[in-house]
Amino acid sequence: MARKPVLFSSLVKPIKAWWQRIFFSVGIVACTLFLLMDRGEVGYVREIRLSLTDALMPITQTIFHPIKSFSKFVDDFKSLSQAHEKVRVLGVQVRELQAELIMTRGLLTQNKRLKEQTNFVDFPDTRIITGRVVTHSGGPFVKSMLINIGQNNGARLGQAVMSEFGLVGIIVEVATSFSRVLQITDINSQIPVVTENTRDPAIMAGDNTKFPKLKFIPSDSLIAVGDRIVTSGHGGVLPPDIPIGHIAEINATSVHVSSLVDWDRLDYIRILDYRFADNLSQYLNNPLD
Amino acid sequence: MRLVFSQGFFEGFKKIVPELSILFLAILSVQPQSLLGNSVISPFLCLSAVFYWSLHRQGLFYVITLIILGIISDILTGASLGFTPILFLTVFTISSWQRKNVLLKPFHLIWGAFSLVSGLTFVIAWAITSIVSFQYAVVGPFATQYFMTVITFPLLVWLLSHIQKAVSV
Repeated sequence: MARKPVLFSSLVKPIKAWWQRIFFSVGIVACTLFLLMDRGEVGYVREIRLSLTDALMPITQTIFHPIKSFSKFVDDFKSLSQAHEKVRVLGVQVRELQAELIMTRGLLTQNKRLKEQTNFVDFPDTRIITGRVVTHSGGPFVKSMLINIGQNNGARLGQAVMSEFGLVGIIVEVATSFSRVLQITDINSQIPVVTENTRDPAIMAGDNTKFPKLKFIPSDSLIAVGDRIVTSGHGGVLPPDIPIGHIAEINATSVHVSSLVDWDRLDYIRILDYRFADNLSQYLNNPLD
Repeated sequence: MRLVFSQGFFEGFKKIVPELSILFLAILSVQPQSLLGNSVISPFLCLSAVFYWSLHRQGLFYVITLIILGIISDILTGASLGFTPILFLTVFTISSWQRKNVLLKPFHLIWGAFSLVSGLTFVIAWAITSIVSFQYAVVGPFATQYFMTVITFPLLVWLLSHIQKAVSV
């Protein structure tokens, strides 16, 4: 009785399947280890991440260019149709602001004199660095963005990043030409804040939604919907009184804040360069010093 | 000679079309100032692409490529390194395992299979996010992205199948 010929492919097939399974298992283990090392802020994993960010960003920006131009064209077209109404509204706003400007100048002079009389020790002057948003993650896993200001331009860990009106987030990674900003809405973001009028302290914690929560509010607090929220300056990471938003909702279990930042149109950002951030960078780089 | 070189280049290009498509979708998903706006949760298009190519290009689609693409995606989005590769590998493994049962079925069944696989992947993503941040992650944004990913799946399949035909992958 003749034996059936053994085909080479029939021998290779199970080996290939096993090889793929082994590779999958090794891949999952390697990724989990990488994830843990990244979360544990192991030095060389952070270095790899920063080097890859510097290498990838120019390519990304090149690919974005035509997409951005098209988006801008559509935006321009949309705003063109509303131009007449916008000009009228702006005219009204300019008149209102001119009146407020005269009053503000008087208050500034008065404030300066009072500070001199009481020997008030003020916070150091803040320098502003302006840049652009390069990438913006739109998923539910993480809320962060890359900006085109890096170590070369004066970015440092812990610096506050703002839009025209409010706090966007804090710098958590600094590469040579780019930095990563952890948004105030991210699940890992926790910022000490106070209510502007009553000065009730709290911690604003992100939850990856558009409305971060307020935690640890004093039990006798008289907060109400619409109250403005600003940074408290506690902890020495952020300067005090940076505007963040206002209370949007108070329910039985939580208080939610609506940010002043227009996340949909966030293109330009400002970094506040102040002395606190120097201390934080030194601490993060050499925690034992 | 020139013709041989260009043919070789095209053959090489054809081999990496799946990887290039996933890379392009990863870059597209982090593009700021999109037409929809930055705050709108966008579909996880890379996941759909990984599922599609795992069914159609199994032999060429190696695990190591998925890990590299996942790490690139993590760098672009700011997620912890290794997060997206775990999701990609999950989709790849399940779709490779069930490839024979799914591939020749009508489209609505393939769509159903994708909704199950991506559902499981989003549960894993939610669990990892909760564990690494030491707190319960709000389910809403995950559910929104899951539904958007499932809804946009036919459109992406249509696009990828046209690319596949065009380059005869």
